[in-house]
Amino acid sequence: MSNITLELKNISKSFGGVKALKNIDLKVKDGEVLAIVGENGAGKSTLMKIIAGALQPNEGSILYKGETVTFNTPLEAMNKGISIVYQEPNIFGDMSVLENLFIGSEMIDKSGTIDWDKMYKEAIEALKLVKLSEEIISKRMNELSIGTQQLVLIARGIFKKCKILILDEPTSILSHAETETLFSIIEDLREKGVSILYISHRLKEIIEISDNIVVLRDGQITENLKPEEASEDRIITAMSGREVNMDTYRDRDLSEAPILIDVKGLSSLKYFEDVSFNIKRGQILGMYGLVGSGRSEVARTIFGDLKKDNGDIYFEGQKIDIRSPKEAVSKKIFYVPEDRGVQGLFGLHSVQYNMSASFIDIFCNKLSVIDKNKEENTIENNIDKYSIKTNNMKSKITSLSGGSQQKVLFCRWLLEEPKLLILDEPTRGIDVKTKAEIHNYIMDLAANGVSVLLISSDLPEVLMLSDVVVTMRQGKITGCINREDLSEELVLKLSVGLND
Amino acid sequence: MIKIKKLLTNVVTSRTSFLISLLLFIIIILSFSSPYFLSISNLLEITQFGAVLAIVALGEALIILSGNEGIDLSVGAILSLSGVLFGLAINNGFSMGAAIIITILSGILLGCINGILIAYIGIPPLIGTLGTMYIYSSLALYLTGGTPISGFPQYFRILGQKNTFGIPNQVLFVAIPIFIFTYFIIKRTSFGRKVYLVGTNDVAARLATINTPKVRMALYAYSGFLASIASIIMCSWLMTARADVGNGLELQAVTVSVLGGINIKGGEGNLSGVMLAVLIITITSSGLQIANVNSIWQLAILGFILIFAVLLNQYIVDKKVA
Repeated sequence: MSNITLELKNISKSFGGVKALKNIDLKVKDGEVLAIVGENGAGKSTLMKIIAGALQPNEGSILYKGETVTFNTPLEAMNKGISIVYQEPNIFGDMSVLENLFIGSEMIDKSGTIDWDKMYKEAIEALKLVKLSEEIISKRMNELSIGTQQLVLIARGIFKKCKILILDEPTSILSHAETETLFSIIEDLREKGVSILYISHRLKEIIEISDNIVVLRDGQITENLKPEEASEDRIITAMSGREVNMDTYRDRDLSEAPILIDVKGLSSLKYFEDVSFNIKRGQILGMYGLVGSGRSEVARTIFGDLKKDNGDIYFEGQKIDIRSPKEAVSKKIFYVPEDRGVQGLFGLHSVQYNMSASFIDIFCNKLSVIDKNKEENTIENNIDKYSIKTNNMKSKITSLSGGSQQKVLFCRWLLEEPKLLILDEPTRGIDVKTKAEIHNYIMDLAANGVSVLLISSDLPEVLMLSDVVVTMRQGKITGCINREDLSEELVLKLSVGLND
Repeated sequence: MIKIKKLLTNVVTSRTSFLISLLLFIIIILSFSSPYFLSISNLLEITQFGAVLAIVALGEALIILSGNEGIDLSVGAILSLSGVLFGLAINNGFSMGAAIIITILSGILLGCINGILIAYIGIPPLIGTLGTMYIYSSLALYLTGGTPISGFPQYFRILGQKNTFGIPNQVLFVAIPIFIFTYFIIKRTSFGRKVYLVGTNDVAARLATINTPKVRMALYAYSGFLASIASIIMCSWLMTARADVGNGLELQAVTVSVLGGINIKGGEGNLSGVMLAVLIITITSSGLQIANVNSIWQLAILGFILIFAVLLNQYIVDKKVA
């Protein structure tokens, strides 16, 4: 029973100078359910991807069934019996359940064509494992609920001689009944000797089903608990305790400051509901929540990029109805989006084109002809002012480092003076030095009376800069904490739904 | 030796200098085939065959440039239909000026229909403009009943059949001014900048408050406008309006856009490259005619040039990057 299936020795992984994992040692036994917890960015997903072959460690070794192994692709790991099911179901919606079960591993008969009969028989067996009826075999994936899709993917992961199953936040999208089913599946698997690595933010569940709980923080294992000795509070304490540099924060007297924006009962039924908060002039409001809690969607709704279903927004005391980003910008509400590559950058073009994209019209005469000198001087000044590392403004944006790219996007929205600046993950994936610089710029702006809505998964960042922190969970606001009462533990607690 | 290699690499990687070299190369080859070919007057004369294509290709290039799989397959049909409307207007007693205005407005309207379907309703450009291509063509055929419309006043020849200083009028007075105007809009105005940005990243453009549907709508309307201008030239050149005159023009326009260096995925490319590509194609076709190459082979040779040029360019660019 207590044979060790998998052993990680001294695993480290860096991304461009940032250490995501440091010297991880971990043992997984046969039939063990091992829970892995940690806040956003603690390194959970990186660790799982390394085990599943989607990433390769920089240092350290992996022993699987007593042998040192290196997996170059997830397929290699899967063929050896290590399967991973990601949080967002990775499905082919227009194909049938049967086809999805066998994607990439279709069975072929002697003539070289697909052996549907054999696959059908095996599929019935596979679905039995996850307690789904065979009636759904021919249905298209899109016709199923997300929870059922997730179960199909789990079936795909386990039906082939699976030894280790990795579940990345499986229950965050499952209904209560589906969660129960999942737990009984896990129970079955455990009896068969399958080891399960289970990432989740639902601490109650974890204590309920796991044999062991590993807590990660800043890429290191900080605690290894038995469920008997673990309480939700104890886990939270182990998750928190990251170093927070408070030097950047500047005390400002905001008691007299008027409220700039007052959001009341804002809902966008698909993403979030009944969101209320207000931001004073010159105040920084940090919004913290786990990925998928609806933070970005709130921002995009205020910016007019998503439609609201309910609720009101008051801006400078007046009720406003923003229906497009353009209308938001005319009110001086600016938004620096979350995903640099997809939502921000114009990859084919220069630093200059990227920086002036939002306000190109301010460089134009009445006939909307661009005044080249005016544009280039402004860009040049900003490159100096924000010390953006680039050969010149004509360099392609993609030739810059991630940090410099982020600065360019930041500058794009400072060509005009904002009243409310919404920053969505302003420092994700950038180097420490640039991060500190951006933190300083944010502080400068606030000191000059700009209100900032700071959305971030980086808890130290939120704690360092915010005057007020709002926590979100599953589309709802779960707490609002003033700076005096701010603590890492409190924010974490509220963001995972523990409010006592 | 290394110097020559470097020079060659430079020539091939910069699309404009590559196209110029290709143009010179083709002129030299063709001049061997016929003693009449290589004279300034002949070369200038040849440009008349390129005027219509040049005008239509400018619109096509901009639409491809604006990304999101943008393409306008209906330009040939718009040209046919607005030409027919022009002929009908003249035959129904409208003055030349009024007829021109009617034609241009109808071109813009037909382009706007494309724009609404694609930019606002969200039909994929390939399908949307394929559909309107059939509809506009059928309309043109219906209106003429299949017989060409003639009856244009004699002075109308001036535009399509006469020269000024040896340069065909439709080139000097229409194609070149339109090119300069379009080039200026794209290079120097905020609208032009927006076309490039929209074509590069639609989502980012939207979040940078660019009204992306409006930009695309304007481009389809402009493409329709250009096709109607080209239809007037075509009528003057042939002195008839025919319902099938634009057939196949849309694919030629796509061809020169791509050959000219417009990234088929949008966001990248230069209008002067497109004009060079028009010259290359026009000169090759007429050169082959002069050289008495069986016309069966003319399209095949264009196909070869297109594939060869794009391949060579890609190969060298890839190598340089790697």
